[in-house]
Order: sequence, then structure tokens, then C-alpha cells
Amino acid sequence: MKHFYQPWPIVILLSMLAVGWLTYADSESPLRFWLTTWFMFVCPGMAWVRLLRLPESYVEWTLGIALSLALDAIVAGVMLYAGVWSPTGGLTALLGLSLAGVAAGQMIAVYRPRPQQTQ
Amino acid sequence: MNQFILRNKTATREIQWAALTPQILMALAIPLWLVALPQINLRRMNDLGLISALPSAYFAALIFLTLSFVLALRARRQRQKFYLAQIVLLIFILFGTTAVIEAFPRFVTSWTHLGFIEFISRTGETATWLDARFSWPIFFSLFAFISEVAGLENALPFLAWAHVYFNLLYIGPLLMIYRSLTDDERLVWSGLWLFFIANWIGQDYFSPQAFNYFLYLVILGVLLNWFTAVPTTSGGFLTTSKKVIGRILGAKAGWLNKCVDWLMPEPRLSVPTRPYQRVGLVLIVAILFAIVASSHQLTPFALLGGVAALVVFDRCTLRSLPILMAVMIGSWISFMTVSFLSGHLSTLTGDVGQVSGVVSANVSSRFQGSPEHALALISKVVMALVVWGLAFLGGVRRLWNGRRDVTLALLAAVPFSLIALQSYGGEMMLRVYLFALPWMVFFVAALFYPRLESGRSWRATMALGLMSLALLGGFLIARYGNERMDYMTAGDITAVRRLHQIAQPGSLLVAITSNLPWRFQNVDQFEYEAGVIKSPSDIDTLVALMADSAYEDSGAYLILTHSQQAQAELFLGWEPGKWERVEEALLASDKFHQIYQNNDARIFVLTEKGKEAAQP
Repeated sequence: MKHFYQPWPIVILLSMLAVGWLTYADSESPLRFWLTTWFMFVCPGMAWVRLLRLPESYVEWTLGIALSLALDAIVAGVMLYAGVWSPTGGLTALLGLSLAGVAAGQMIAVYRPRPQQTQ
Repeated sequence: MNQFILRNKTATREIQWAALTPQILMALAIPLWLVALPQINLRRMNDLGLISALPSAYFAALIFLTLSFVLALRARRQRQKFYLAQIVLLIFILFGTTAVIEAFPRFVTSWTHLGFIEFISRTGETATWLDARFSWPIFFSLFAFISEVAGLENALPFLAWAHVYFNLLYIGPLLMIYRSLTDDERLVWSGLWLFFIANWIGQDYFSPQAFNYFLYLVILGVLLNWFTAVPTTSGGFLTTSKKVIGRILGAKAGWLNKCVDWLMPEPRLSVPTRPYQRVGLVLIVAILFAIVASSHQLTPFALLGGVAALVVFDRCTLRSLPILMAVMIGSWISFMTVSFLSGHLSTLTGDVGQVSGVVSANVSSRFQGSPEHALALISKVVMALVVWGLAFLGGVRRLWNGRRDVTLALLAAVPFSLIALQSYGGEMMLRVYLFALPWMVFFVAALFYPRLESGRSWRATMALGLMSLALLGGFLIARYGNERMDYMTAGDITAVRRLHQIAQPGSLLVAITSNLPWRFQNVDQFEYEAGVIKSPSDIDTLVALMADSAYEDSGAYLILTHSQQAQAELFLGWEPGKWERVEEALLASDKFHQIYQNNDARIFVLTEKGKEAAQP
């Protein structure tokens, strides 16, 4: 379970909670802009990119941001072309995607075969 | 003995000070830039652009930072975090200055994009009948979505700093790309440094192009790091053609085989991957390309060309990727842009193969306006030619030192094939420069660091420093040469906002040139007309247009702004004083009535006499 205590899953879960709360409560706090930007630019993609266990953190950041923006864009595009424009609904989808990424990471951490310890 | 110890201590102290020089220089650059910012008076700008209003402290900051960078590169110990800090500071100085000193975001097109985003937020739909860009709307829907979730009224907070955050975003994929090409960290970081000082194109404003350029770099970064072919195992075009040549020509194929061997990828240590990583990375590339294909007209073709070249020349193991990309592009164009294509197919295909026409539309037809402004425009061509020329020399030097950079040369050459497609509204040469830039600047950097062990001499350090300073001078003129018209004053914005308050839906909005931020909201509710007046004597044409019975109920408004005046003088050849004469003629005319005025703008409507005068 060591993987669970690594910072990213916790950061992503806390960001999800904060953005979800600020958005669903329609908060007018200036924090909402910064937290939403942070979440939407970084978290959904990072939740999945971390599963790839890439060697360099700057590569994780680069791919995490690119994938986050792409996932945001896919959700926005689906809402646009399906005629169901609903930013809160879209956010719910992104929260679900992020949660799925974090959960997948935990599953892998739990069920991954561990290397045998040498004496 | 004591003397020896003393001399040693002094020498050590000198070495420590020498090692600290880059840090000290960078620490001095920051306050110099901060001191320069309040001294910049944009009203003092002449037709040369922003450079004419910059104080000496600004130039000093750039000189100190450049010295700091080249000295840091010379050091034996590579300090990557320090290089990164220097590049970030460079981005803030070069791209963030206007964001700090200008009260409102610059550049009219970014305001138009704001209007498109506002339309999607308001209606939840695209408007392909309104503008071609709505046929590739994903960038606009993305920021409509983010803005609404963030609780913003509109996407305005994302506009002003777009130049900075897009350039910051480019650092990651550029590092990925350059590190896949060399083990020399000095080459990697000097390539990055040169990328930003040669990025005068200005395509990093709030736009689909800036966003897609990031994805372009990321996709190529992934392919170059994890999907490069190993020569011995490749079964691609080159290996196959070698076999075919051997079968046909037999023993006579010697020199042809040598050519093919020369083009084969060099053996290199690729980043090790496991199957699940490769699957994940392919999925990421596919998702990113789906966004590129649906959010920009040009970038998908630039990427397709680049990836196809890598596959054909055995440099990418994902051999079916170009086919997937072509299918995605074709599907989007066939199904999602039909309403746009049905009326504009001839516009899109009219330039295919017309290379000389495209070059003319992109270069020679742009040299208009005052002598100072002509100099600013010429500097763009000079900058492009200098960067390409230096890149050629760098490539030759690498070749001389035994490096065959076929991959880089392919990626640098492919964007030039876009010229054969169309003129892209007179901007294709700019886009060619943009897409070729990452590869070109790597070659430029290689001019100073052709081998791992070279480039530590004072001569190389001085040469890189002087060339950087020369490019920075060119950057400031080429990038900000149009700043007089790109700068949106508070008066311009206030007048446009006032116009939107006054004008009823369905109104006709008229301007002398289209360089004003009038499409930032309710873009679908007004008719826009610009370019009607060429001189004060054209006022009657204006009256006839505004008195059209179609606008009898909703109304017609003429708006004049500082930004339009700047464009008329910079690009339409209006001599100083002509704008004022048009204003005076409008004020003196009994057919117009001024309903709003501030220091930079005026709004007029027709008087009853004006409406009557236009009746047949």
C-alpha cells in the first residue's frame, strides 16, 4: 500500500474535492479560478500518466498537462456536439475520469507482483 | 609555504567568484527588468513598434541575462535547474512585458477568439455559418468549459498572459525532443534558449495555433523518445528499398546502397519501455492527435507530414500512425466541416500548387506603410533567413563532425511543403517558420557545440553571446513591430463596450479598418463592415451603407478607435494627419452625429438628414 501514500493520488483527490465543492456550491471565492485552472490543466491527465511510471518528472508533467487539456477538450467537444452543454456535468465526467485514474493506480499498486527480496 | 597557501586560497576565492558570476548577472537582470517596466510609455511608440518605447534598463536586463546564460553554459558543472530558471526569466522578459504594462490584452484576434468562446458558453453550440474557425471549435469549447467551471464571466483572464503560459508549456516537450537528439546538455539548453529568442512569430497568443503547437511538440517528443526505429531491426521503406535495389541491380547497386545506408537512422540508446508503457503512450498520441485534428486547420497537416517522413525514412516504428492520422483528418473534414466547405472549397483549394503566388501573398505584398514600419517588416524576413542560414551552417558543422542528422533535417524540411497547400490568409510562411523552428534552432545551437567536448573556448562563448544579442534585437523589432496597432488601449475597449451597450441586436457596426476588438461578445448579433472609407471624400459611401433600410429599426453605428488609426497608418499607407482629417470631416458633416467620445475613440450615428440624404 506504499503507493497510496505517494503525493500525487492525494493531491489529485484533494483537488477533486476542492474543485467539486467550489463548483457545485457555485462559490464566488477567487480561489475557484486558481483551483479550477490547476485541476483542469493538470489532474485528469496526471491521474493516468502516472500509471505509465515514466522515468523523468518533467516528462510526466508535460504529458500530464497535454493529456489533461485533451481530456477536458474531449468532454467539452462531446457536450458541444451532443447538444448537452453543461459545464457542471462535464466537470462531473472529469472528476470521474480522475478518480478512475487514481483508483487504477491503487489497484496496480496492490496487485502488482512484487520483486522478490534478496538476502 | 605560507605564501603558497595564501596564493591557493586567493585562487580558490577567484574560482568561486567566477563560478558565481552567472548567478550574480541573473540576479541583476531581474531588478533591471522590474525597474524598466514602469518606464515604458506606450504612447511614445513610433512605427518601429515596442522597441522605440523600451528604456535602456530593459536592454541591460537582456544583456545581463544573456551573459549569465552563456557563462553558465561554459561551466564544467551543468546546472539544469539554473538553466531552467534563466529560460523562465527570459520568457517573462520577452513575452510577459506587454502583459504587465498594457491594461488590456493585446492583439485583436485574441479578442475575436474571446467572442467565439462567449458564443459557445451562451448557446452551447457552434456557429459554422459565422466563421470558418467554428468548424474546428474544440479549442473554443475547451476554454468555454474551463471558464464556466472556474466561475468566470468570460475567458478574458486567460488572454493577457497567454504568450507567457504557452511558451512555458513549450519547455517540457522541447526538452523531450532535444534530449532525444543529443546527450550534450549544453546543446539541449542552448537550443531551448535560441528557440525562445527566435520565436518572434507571435503565434503564441490566445489561439488554437498556440495550443496545437504545444500538442505538435508533445506528439513529436513522444515519437522521438519512445518510437524510434533501431536500424538493424527496421523493416521500413529504406530497408525494403535497399533489398529491391539489390535484387534489380545486383552488384551494380553499390553506390545506391551506400546512399540508403547513409540515410539509415544512427544507432542510439532509446528510452527503455515496457509493453504497457508503449500502449499507454500510443493511446496518448492518438488522443492528442484527435484534438489537433478537430481544433486547427493547419497543424494536423504539419504533424501528418512530419510523422509520415519519420515513418518513410525508418525513424518511427509506428508505421500505421500516418494512416490513422490521415483517417482522423479526413473524417473531421468530411463530416464536421461540411457547412463551411460547401461554400469555400474553391478558396481552400485555389492555392494548391501555386507556390510563387503563396510566397508573394506572404512576403512581398506585406511591405506597406511608413519607412519605420517597412523596416520592422523587413526584419521578419531577415530574422527568418538568418535563422535558416545559421541552421544550415550548424547542420554542415555537425556533418563535418560525423553526425548524420537526417531525422532533424526531415522535420525541418517538411513544414516547407505546406507552402504548396495554400496561402493561409497570407500567413503560410510564418507558419512554416514556426513549425520548422524547433529543428532549425537545434542546428543553430550545434554551430557552437558540434561535439560533446567542444564549445568550451572563450571564442565559442563570445560567439554564442553576440549572436544571441543580435537575435534578441531582431526579435524585439520583428515581434513587436506592429505593437502600435496590436496594443489595445483602455479607450478602445471602453468604446467597444459602450457600443455593445447601445447597439440593438441586428445593428450594423461599421469601422474604417477591422483592427478593433468589437467581436469579443454577441458576435452573432451584429453585422460588421470595415474598409469602406479610403479618404475623407468617401463619407457619402459610408452614409449610403449606414442608411440601408435593413438597419432602419436596429440602427447603424460607426466606431473609430486608436487601434484602427494605427493599422491605417502602418498597413494602409495613411499619412500622418489623414485620420484626423476624416474625424474632422465626420464631425463637421451634418449627416453624422457623435454619440460617444473618449481619448482614443468615437462613436457616430447618422442624423435624420444623413438618413434622408441616402434615400433614392
